[in-house]
Amino acid sequence: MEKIIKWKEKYFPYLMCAPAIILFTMFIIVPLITGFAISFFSWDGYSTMTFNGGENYLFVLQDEVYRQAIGNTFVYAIAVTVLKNIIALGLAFILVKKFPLRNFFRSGIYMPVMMSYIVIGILWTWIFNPTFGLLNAFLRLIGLESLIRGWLSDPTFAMASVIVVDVWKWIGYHMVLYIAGLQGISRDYYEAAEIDGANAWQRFKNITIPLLNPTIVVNVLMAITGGLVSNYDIVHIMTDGGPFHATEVSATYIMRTAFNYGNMGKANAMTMITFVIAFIFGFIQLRVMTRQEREEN
Amino acid sequence: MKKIITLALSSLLFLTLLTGCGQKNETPEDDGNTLHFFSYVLTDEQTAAYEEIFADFEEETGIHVEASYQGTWSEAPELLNSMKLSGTPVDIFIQGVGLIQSPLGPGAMIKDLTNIVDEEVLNRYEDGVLDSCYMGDHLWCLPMADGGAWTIMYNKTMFEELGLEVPTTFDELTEAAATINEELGITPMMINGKDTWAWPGLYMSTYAEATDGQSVENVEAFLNGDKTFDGEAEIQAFEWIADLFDAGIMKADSLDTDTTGLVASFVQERVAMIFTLDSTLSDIRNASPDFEYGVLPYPIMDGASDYYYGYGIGDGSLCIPAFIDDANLEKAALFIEFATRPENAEKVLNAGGATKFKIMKEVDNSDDAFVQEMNEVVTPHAVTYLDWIWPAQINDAFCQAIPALASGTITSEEAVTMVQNAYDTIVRENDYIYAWWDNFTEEEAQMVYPAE
Repeated sequence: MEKIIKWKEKYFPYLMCAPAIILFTMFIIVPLITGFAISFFSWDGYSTMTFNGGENYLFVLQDEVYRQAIGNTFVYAIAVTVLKNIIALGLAFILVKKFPLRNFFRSGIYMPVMMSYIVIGILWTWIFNPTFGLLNAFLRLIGLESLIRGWLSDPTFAMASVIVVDVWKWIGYHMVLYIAGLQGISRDYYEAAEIDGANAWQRFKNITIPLLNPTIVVNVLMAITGGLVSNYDIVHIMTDGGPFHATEVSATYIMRTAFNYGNMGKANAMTMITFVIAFIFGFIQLRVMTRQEREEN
Repeated sequence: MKKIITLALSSLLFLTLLTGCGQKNETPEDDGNTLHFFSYVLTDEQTAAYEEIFADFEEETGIHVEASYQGTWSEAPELLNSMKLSGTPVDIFIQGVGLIQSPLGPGAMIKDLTNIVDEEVLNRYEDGVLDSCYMGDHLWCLPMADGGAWTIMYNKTMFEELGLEVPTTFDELTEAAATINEELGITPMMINGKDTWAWPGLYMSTYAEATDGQSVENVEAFLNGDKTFDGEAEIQAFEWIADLFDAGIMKADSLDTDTTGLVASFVQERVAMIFTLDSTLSDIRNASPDFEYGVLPYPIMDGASDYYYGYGIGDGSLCIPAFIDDANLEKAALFIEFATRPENAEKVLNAGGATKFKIMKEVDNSDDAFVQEMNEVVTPHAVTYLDWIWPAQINDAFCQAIPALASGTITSEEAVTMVQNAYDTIVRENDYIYAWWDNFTEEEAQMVYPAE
C-alpha cells in the first residue's frame, strides 16, 4: 500500500501534465520540426519532394518582398504595442474613477474585442471605402476634403489604416487589464506621497508605473507577440498585403508563398527565420522589462 | 478520489481532441460498386442537378455515386491533396482550368483524359470550347459550367440622357468620360481593384490589342523561356492601362473598391461604366432589377486594329484524379459519358438560369437580351484568360504592378521588369517548366497517363 502511495506521489504530477505535453508536442513541436525539415526541400505540396540543401534560406534572404514584409511586421508590431498600451492606459485612468455611465463606456470600448477579425475587417473596409465610406463622407461634411484619400489603396497610409483598426479592436482588452492593475494599487501610497508633497506626475512616475509594472509587462508582451505573429487575419481581410506590398507582413507572405505560389520549402524557411527573429526579440524584451524584478530577487 | 476524477477528465478531454486526428479506414457501403465524387461547395441548384444525375446514373448502371462537397473553389486542390494523403477515395472531381494549369497539373494530381473520353463525348461540345481543356495536346477536363468573360458594362439610361454614343476607340471613350465628369461629377469608369485578381483582366485586353490578338501565343513563348517580357508590346499594354487613369476615365477610387462596392456604385449611378467579370450580372440584377445597362466594346487604343476581352470556358469541369483506384477508372469514364449527355449536362449547365455562353451543341444558352448583346460584343473578340495560363507568381506580379502603375508608383518599364523578375524567380526557385505535362517522374507519369 505504501508503495502504491509513493508511486502515486511520484508519478501523479507527470500523469497530470502528460495530456498537455502530448498535445503541445503534437501540435507545436512536431509541426515545428517537420517545418524545419521541409525547409530543406523543394516541394510544391503535391509532387515529390527534392532535397535542395539550404537553398531555400538563400532564396529567402534574396527575396526583397520578404525583407519588406519583415520590416512591415516590426513596424506593425511596435506601432500597435505602443498605441494600444498608451491609449488603453489613458482610458484605464479615466474609467477607473467613478462617474455616471462608467460601465457603459467600459462595455462599449470592450465590445470590439468580442468581434471576429472578419467582421471588423469588412466593417472597416467599408468605413475606409472612398466612394461610400463614412470616413471620407465625414471629412467632406466638415470641410476637410483635402484629407480625403484612398485609405487602404494609398501605400503611404495603408499600413497606418490597418494599425488603427487593430488598435481599435484591442484597446478594450488592454484597458481592462490596466484597470485591474490600477485597482490593485493601494490608495495608501498615494495619500502618503501627497502628504510628502509629491505632484501628480511624481505620483504617476514613482508609484503607479513601478507598481503597475507586472501588468505593463503582460500587456506589452501580449501586444507585441500579437503584433508579430497574429496579424494575418486583419491584414489579409483588409488589404491582403497590398497595395504594392505596403502592408505585406511575414504571415501573409508566408501563406502566399506556401499556398498560392506552391513553394512549401521556401515558406517553411521563412517561417523558421521569422520564428527565430520573433523569439530573439521576445526574449530580449522580456529580459529588459523584468530586469528590475530579477535584480530584486 | 479527486485526483482520479481529475485525471480521468483530463484523459477524456485529451482523447476527445485526438479523435479529430483520426481517419476512417473504410468508406461505408463501399461494395466496389461506388464512385466517389468530390467538389468544392456548389450552389444549391448545381448540387441538386448533380444529385439528380447521380440518381439517374445509378438507375442506368447500378453504380452508386457518393458525393462530397467541401471548401471553396480555390481550396479544392489542397482538400484533394489531403484526401490523397489520407487515402480517402476520389474518382471524379470538379475543378477549373486555371487550377489545373497550376497546381493540380504540375503536381501530378490529375489524370490525362485523352484516351479515356470517346470522340462522341468530345463532339457534344461547341467548337473551340474544349481548347482551354487541352494542355500539351492532352485533354485534362470537360466543362460542366458556364463560361465567363471580362466586359465593360455601361449605364444605358445615363448615356442616353447625356446624349453619348457608344464609344469604340480610346479617344471616343476619353470624350465620353469628360462629358460624364463635367455633367455629373462622377467617376466615369471603375474596376473592383481592391480584389487584386481583377487587374490582370485589363492587361488581357490591352496586351491582346498590342499583339494583334496573339497574347496567348506570346505568353506561352514567354513561359517557355523563348522570349523575355520586356518587349514593346508588353510595355505598350501597360502604358494603355496607365492611359485610362491619365485620361481621367478611371480614378484612384478603383483601387479601394471591391466587387460589392463596384456593383453598389454602378446601380446607384455613382459610376457610369464598370470593367468587370460577366458574373457580376446576377449581383446587378439582384441589386436593381430595373436598371438598364449594356456592353461596350473594349476601346481600341491608338495604334491597335481591334479590341479583345479575356474569356474562358472550363471552370467547374469534370476531372479524374491521378490517384484514382485503377479498378474505378472505367466506371469514372462511364460517369463522364453519362453526365455529358445533353439531357444530363443541361441540368447542371442551366442550374439557376440558362448559361450565358453556348457550351454544348444541344444545350441552348440564354436568350436574355443582355446575354445576346454580350455574345455579340464579347465572344467574337475573346482571348483566353491569361491567368489560366501563367502561374500564380506571374499573376501576382500583375496584381501588384497594375495598381502601382495606376497610382503612379511605378512606370510601365518597371512593371514589365516586375513580371520578368517573377518569372526568373520561379525558374530559379521552383524549377518552373511551362510544359509540365512532359516533366513528370516515371512514377508520376504512370499515375497521370493511363495505360493504353
